Amino acid sequence: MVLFISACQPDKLSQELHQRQLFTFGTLVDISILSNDPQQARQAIDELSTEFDRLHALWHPWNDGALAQANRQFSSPVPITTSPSIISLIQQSQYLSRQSNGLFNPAIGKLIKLWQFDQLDNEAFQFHLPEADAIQSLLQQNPSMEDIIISHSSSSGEQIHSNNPSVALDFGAFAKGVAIENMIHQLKKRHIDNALINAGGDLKVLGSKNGTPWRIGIKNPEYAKNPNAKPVLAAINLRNEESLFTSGDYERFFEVEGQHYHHIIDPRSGYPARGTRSVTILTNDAALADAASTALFIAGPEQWSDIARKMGIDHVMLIAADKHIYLSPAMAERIEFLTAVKPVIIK
Amino acid sequence: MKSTLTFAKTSLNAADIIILFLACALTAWIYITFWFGNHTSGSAETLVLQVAQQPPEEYSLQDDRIIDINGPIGHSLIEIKQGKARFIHSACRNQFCVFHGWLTTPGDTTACLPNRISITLKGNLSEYDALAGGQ
Repeated sequence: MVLFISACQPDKLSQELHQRQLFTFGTLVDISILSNDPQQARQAIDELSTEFDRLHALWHPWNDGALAQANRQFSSPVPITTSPSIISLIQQSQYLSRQSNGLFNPAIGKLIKLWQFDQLDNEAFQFHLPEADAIQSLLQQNPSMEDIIISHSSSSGEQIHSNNPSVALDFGAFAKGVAIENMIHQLKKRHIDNALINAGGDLKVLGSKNGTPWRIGIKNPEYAKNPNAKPVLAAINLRNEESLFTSGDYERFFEVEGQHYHHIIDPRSGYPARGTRSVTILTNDAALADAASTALFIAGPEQWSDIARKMGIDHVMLIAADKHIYLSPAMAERIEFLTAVKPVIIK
Repeated sequence: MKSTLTFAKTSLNAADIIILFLACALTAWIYITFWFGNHTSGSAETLVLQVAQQPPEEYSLQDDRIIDINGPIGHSLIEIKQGKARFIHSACRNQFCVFHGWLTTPGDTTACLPNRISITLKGNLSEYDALAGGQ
């Protein structure tokens, strides 16, 4: 009998789990790698740690990196040469912004800065409500990804400039997905087939955990308000190379005079998007999952399914502010609820 | 009263039945442990406390206590009570770590990013490999 059970176990049963937690990319990143070679795992995690730090510095909108330099330059129409990775972020974002009807809009960096959500890991930060006039002034200037022009110069290579001085790029709703996608690619180059990268609750997996699928719990937004609620709402088993990304209003927010102000800004109103508590996206491409979770959060209960279709997303769960849970049919087939809920399946 | 059961030409006495029962129970235990091991729900047993650039420290969730820990910008206070853990104070201004409230589930984690301190719950039979959501 024992032999029978052993025979049924997958080949790589004996692979050891190597885990490390990193403070990087403005969040906590947990890396889990299955390998029988501790040195291989350690070197891989070291490499990812260095790469996360490098990309965070390069893509930060306001520090001293390449993106911050580009943002300072956008006030003038003079083209500048920038990092190829930023050109790639811009190109991908232009496409995704169009697909989302402009709901995913990294060009509103100045608006996000007004709300100070770029300052969350700054120790001296203290939130104050932005002036309504300042928000309206930025909205009237209508910064969009289409304002960014990529040109090619024979002497300087690819260059960028903006046709709109109100543009500043903040890839906070995209960079984490792109970074995770890059890191998974690096692990595969090192012949690591089974791993999980979890950056602050957004994650992608490779392979499985010794033959059993990576099993992910989805946090219950209600638990943030009600400690008697169950902390985990649902569970899902992920397949090779699947990503699970969530945008929620319940972890990064401020309350001023009883009003809840979270970090997902609606580019149409200039204020935190209303009507949604969280959106969870399951898809292979982590970068797409990141952008889509933000776009669908902003789209809200009325529009999310149209935007999901346009962005090519099949697996969606949206929890509305009124606590209704909406699922796409594909998500309904994968998700296991752990509490008594009655989700509405939208076809 | 008969003390044996008869199956075809084989008869089982009370000792045989006990052995058979124990074998079945062992089979069930091995099957659950080795086949469904990761999926058996479990409670959190340990708090893993990490300060950046330092090795993680572990604390039993069975012993109620307050942990006073220093990070780069000052003190953070972490409370362990009745198998749960939470930040009750941190030197940061935004206090997201404190607002997060109690961690109760293995795999759940929160951090004071400005003070570079994280807490994570761990259990021997964690139901989840990670918790998704939030940001």
